[in-house]
Amino acid sequence: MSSLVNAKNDFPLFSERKDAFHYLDSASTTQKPQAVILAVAEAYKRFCANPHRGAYRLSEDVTAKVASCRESLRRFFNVPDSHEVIFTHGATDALNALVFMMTPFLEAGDNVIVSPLEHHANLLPWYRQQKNIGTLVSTISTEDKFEVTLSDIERSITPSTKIISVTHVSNVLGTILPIKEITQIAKEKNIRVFVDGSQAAANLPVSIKNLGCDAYIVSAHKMYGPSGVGALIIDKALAETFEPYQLGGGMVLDVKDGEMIFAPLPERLEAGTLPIEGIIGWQAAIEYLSSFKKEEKEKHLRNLRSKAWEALSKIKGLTLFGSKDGIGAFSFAVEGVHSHDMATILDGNSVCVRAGHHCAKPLMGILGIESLARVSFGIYNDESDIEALVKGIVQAQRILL
Amino acid sequence: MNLFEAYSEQIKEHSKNPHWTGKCQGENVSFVAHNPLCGDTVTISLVIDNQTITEARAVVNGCAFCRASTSCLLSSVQGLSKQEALSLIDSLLLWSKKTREEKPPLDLFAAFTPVCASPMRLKCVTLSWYALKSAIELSF
Repeated sequence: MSSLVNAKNDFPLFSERKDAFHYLDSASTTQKPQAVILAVAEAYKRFCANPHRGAYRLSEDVTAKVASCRESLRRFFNVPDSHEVIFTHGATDALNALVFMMTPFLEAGDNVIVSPLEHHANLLPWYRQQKNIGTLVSTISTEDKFEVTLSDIERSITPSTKIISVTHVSNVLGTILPIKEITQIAKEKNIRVFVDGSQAAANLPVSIKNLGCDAYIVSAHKMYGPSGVGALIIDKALAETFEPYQLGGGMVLDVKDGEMIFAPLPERLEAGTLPIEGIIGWQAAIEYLSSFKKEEKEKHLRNLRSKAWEALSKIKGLTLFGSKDGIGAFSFAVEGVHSHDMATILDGNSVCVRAGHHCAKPLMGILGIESLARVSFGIYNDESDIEALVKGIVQAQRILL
Repeated sequence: MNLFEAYSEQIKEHSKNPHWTGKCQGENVSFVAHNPLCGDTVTISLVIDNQTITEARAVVNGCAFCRASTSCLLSSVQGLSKQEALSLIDSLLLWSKKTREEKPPLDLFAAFTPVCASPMRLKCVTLSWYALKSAIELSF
């Protein structure tokens, strides 16, 4: 097992710089380790052919490589069957596909429950569906604005509820939702549970078998892999009933007289050429992540967040927005300093944080704020990043107040 | 250029103590401009008498660049005719897109040169310019 102490050295962004650089925006995208960069380059050198298409060895090698990547994902997320891992072009693509493919199973008046913490990617497709077919999207009403509890969710369920579609971890607050418990109560009521795992995949050990949800969505670029590739991990029995989201090459067995016979899963839901180099790079990211003990990785990320939370809570005029016991991200506002000014001044100190509404406008409305600065952590972060963050915030106050 | 260096003494001063704030007494034109991406809001208030801006004020809820740019603009348009103010705003907007090649129409705006070069922050500077332009156009 590798040690997290020197993890920063595995990432060229940090190891190839002479000056200190503090990247605290891993919730947006994670930096890429050398192993992933090499794997992507290797993919272009040695695996450039279309899988499932050519009767030559290079194409067969790529087909085998994609199958091996799928198996890596299955193992990493403890998915019962590798055919339940559908490659997509990212989490947004996967969520849009899922909502589209669920539409024939829903009718006007059916209720879809979302949490107040959702990223637009797990919100706007449901809103469009509501507009198109008359489903009713309702938002869980929570007792604590930073937490979503099982009782909050239980109170939101109605006899019309067909779907609960929620994030596993909030991209703004770091709140962890009780997915396993949600799934248990949903199953009793014959409600489907879909989970946006974008913010959880790199931060928490995720066992989809254990969570028991019907679909779990992940994105490679938020777990140290390449951008442009993600996965819709979905219950096989449900996926087999889906009319595919996209039609095209590689997903049919036969086309004749205007009729088409779809291929079995997973190809059935993977029309067109897959993002091969992204998938190969993703496998390298999973291997890299697997080189650390799961518990140690989670402990490291929780410690960093907790130390940053504590350090920022001591700054006068600063308000924290987040779940104290969360993971990944939390946000903050400083009285008299706009979040964009904060991000710019921190950038002047080589500290990267995100500022704005974080693609979670409904949440910002609930919090009663237009814009927040957000910090989030990756395995390469250490206490020097927190020190630089605190120093930069104090400097922003000195400059602008 | 590191945008950090754009927080010049002039910008800081206009941001901390902006000129021509609030609502005009006897306001006869107003306009609210909002940038939903960052939440900045500029509410322009004007007194226009016989085609002349006799008073222009604004309430700004925004970042330092937005506050400072609004303050500088309002300081520049008091007493101008509507047409003169529109011409100034048009030339400022034109300049904001090519700050590397040209000097600003008024020296007061030179401090915003690095901010205009940032695609992310340009809108912070120009929000009040568009707001005042719309307010004047409403009065025709």
